[in-house]
Amino acid sequence: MAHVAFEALYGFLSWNLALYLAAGVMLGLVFGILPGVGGTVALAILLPLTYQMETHPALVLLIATHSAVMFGGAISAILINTPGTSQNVATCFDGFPLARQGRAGEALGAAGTASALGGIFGVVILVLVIPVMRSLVLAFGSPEYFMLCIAGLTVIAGMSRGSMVKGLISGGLGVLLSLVGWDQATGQLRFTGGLLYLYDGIDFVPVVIGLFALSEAMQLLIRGGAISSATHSSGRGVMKGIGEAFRNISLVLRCSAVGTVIGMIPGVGGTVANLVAYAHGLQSSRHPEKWGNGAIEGVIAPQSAINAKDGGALVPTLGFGIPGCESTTILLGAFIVHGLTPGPAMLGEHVDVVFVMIWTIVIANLLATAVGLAGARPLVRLTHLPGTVLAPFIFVLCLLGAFASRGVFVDIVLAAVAGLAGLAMKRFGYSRAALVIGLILGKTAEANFHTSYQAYGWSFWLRPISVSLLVVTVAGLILVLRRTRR
Amino acid sequence: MKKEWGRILFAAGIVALVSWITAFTFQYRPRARLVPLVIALPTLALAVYQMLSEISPARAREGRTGGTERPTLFKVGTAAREIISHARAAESGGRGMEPPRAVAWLAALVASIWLAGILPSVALFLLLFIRSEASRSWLFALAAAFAASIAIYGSLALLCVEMYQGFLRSLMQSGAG
Repeated sequence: MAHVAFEALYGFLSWNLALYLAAGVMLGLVFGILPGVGGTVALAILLPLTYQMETHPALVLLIATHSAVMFGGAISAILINTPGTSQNVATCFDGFPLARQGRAGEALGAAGTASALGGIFGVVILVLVIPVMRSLVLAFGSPEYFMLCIAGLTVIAGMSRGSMVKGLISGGLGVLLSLVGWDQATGQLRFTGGLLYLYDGIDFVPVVIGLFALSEAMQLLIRGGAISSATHSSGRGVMKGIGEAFRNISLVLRCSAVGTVIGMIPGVGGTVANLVAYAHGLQSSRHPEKWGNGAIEGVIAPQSAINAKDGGALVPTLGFGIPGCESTTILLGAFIVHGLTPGPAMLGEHVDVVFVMIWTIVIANLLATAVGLAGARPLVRLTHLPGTVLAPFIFVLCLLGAFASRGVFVDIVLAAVAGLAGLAMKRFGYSRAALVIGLILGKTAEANFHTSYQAYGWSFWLRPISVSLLVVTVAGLILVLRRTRR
Repeated sequence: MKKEWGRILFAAGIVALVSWITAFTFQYRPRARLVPLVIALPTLALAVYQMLSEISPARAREGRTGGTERPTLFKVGTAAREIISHARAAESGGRGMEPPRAVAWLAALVASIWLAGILPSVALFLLLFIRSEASRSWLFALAAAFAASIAIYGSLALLCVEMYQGFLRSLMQSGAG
């Protein structure tokens, strides 16, 4: 096994693999920075280009792109409060406040390092888990998914410090909005008001773009000045940010573990991983009162989880041919196009391909961080531009990001409405983050609740992993409430 | 204490929205309404409480601070930064815009995209905004609008997203057809 691993690594010394890796990383960073695009769209665009390519270069291009997207998404989340991908939502919560304090470089440094460390952690776990893959994946069912969603929803309480009542109202409203459209359990249409657009539910990409980025751009115009209030060039904090990630190595490892495990669960995805890791970071922090106001740990926690998730998501994809998340669905298509059959056979006959993928994730994560951080200083200057110059571009970028996710005009209107709502929520002290968390996790929680109840009755709470998750969630919630009240 | 009508109206809007959702919930089958009701009823209760708090000035003060919030060094620091930021913005001539004006620009952009499509609207919006609000030269505004249009065209073409052409174009096409 070891010699196959080294041979795969040796392959990266050849010019074509190295070139495809570099191209993938650059494309991934660009796709990540563009709001509303994300890894799935990037892979879907690149997949047809790989049809005529050999297997190794094709997979290197796709996986390198996918690995770099997450850090690209963090760049726009931190600098302009626009999550580049839906999986970077929680990075906005503390990343943008840090940018406003003139600490964008520090936030980027921490996000990049956490992303790279998380990506490597996920891959290490993938290698270790390959022999026990089957039992691990099958241990998670709908009750465990449901409990994970509940764990994610508890962030709402932690983020409702200004006024708990307003935070809970925002979270409740988010969950209710997530229930718009077809009910998966009964097939009933709910809260659509007869609008065809709402039949598939409210797409959270335009809502997140509007609530965070558009409202912030309008706030910037109303307030005047620039995003950053600091006079010095905040790009200088990159090294400090890298140091912060290593100083919080325990948080990086814990959140990477959270991301990897969630990645292994088919169908849950990086957005949940991102929020659950943020919840864990908040609950275990000694200073939860700083979270949401510019805590560097609030950037480190979600970024380590979403990159670690990639390694985890490859476990069911390689082991059973079940995609761990949306992006690995496209990757699965690439396997089939290139004549690879996921499953035990792949781990036997095509173990070289598996190691090429593993090394690609490791090198692409490191390269994406290096390239992203090298470009951090000029990017950070964006936060010093006058609002009247920057805001119109953010308006355009946001509305186009909302449109690009599905190509529907009404998404532009939805983003604008969410922008106005976000402005009002910010002004009157309602938590936008709580609303987004409810919106993202509400429907998944409901669907898994119904499935769990049908399969196990009320005893679904009593499954060992469910009980453990419940205990950890409740204990964390009590801890964070006590700390914030202190 | 002076009542803030914006706060009251916003809280009332939330009450109206959650009431509408709650009322609709009762029309659904038991399984389909279980989770919505479990969430909607407490949310409605909290929203009503919040609205009443906003109406009653004494409670409003409590609601705004959460009742337990105390000034901390961090909050003092944040406030100081805000003040410095405002002062610096004023010094650099970057004075803030009236909220209705900012909202009007956004609404105009959305309406113009609906009417004329993405590319012409974005170009025109950037040109006018940068010229009038940022007080930059026509040349700068033109260059920015042109560069942004090229970037948008390239990005949407790369993403294989069909450019939204606008209501006027579809009207002309249906007229020609």
